[in-house]
Amino acid sequence: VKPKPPRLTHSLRAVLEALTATAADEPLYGYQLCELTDLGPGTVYPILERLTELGWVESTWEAEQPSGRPRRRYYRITGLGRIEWAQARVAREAKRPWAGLVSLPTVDDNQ
Amino acid sequence: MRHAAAKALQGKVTRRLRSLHRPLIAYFVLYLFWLLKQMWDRNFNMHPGQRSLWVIDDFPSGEDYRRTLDLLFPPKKHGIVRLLPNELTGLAAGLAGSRHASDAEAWRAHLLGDFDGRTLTVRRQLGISLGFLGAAVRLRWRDVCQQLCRPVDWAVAKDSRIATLLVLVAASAVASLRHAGGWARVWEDFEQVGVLVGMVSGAAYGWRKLRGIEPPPPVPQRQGEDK
Repeated sequence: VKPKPPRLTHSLRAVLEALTATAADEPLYGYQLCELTDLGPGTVYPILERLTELGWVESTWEAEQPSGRPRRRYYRITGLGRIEWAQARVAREAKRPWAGLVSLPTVDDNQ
Repeated sequence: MRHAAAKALQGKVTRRLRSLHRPLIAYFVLYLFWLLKQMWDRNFNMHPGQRSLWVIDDFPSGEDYRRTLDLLFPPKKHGIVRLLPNELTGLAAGLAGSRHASDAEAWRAHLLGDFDGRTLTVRRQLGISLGFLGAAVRLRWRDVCQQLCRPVDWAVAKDSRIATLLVLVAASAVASLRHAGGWARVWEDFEQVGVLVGMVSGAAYGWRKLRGIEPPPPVPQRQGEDK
């Protein structure tokens, strides 16, 4: 079964924008993603799982075991993810020519 | 009778007011802080770019309010409310299934916040752990759906399997009609068999398209085979 590209919901777009806005050497962990996107963990983690299955996002564990606390899992967008996300965004904007008339606040604006 | 009802209502109102006293005290303390901040800002005439020394920038802020509540009425260290977020996170990890077993550690790290010295309040942790439960249910539901779809995916993955399925459906429909009224009935309602086969065929190819299943490429025939 070839995985289908995900539906570009508001939550998914917020997560992908947060991931693309960060540098490749500074991956984000779940808490940061929730804070940046203003979404709950109940929404963010299933989206991350789906994107990981598609190969758009890769996750890595914290390199060293920290003392006194559990390890974090870091998420970063892959090259494939960047390309697919850019294509999907262009296709979406082409389908919605009226979208440019009203600009909704993005994650960057919130920062 | 009327007197008893009035007394019950009075008791209810009193209980409600009693349950409100803690948030009201927290609100009042925050209000005092805010007043002091206003006085400070006016007295020292801070310029716009200067950062206030006070932690509370806006009033009322939900997070500051919750923090003040926790400061004034600290929850018990080993109370059930204190333990609940961790327990709920463990439950959520169990609910998500063995495929997501490693999520428990990442989720427990999430509960601790960003480790910059500001720990999350118990109320916030409770909210987050309830979010983990929601995530676990969604992840589990997706896994169950995928497992349920696997036999159907297998059946429609090849054209030969779809053809077999159609033959089976047609044969069972014909057998059913023959049982009901003999071959005459089969001949009479033959178009219904055709409609049924068409519908099943459409559903099979539609499912294939919906799930993004690509049939295997046809095996190229050897040159000598068709002679």
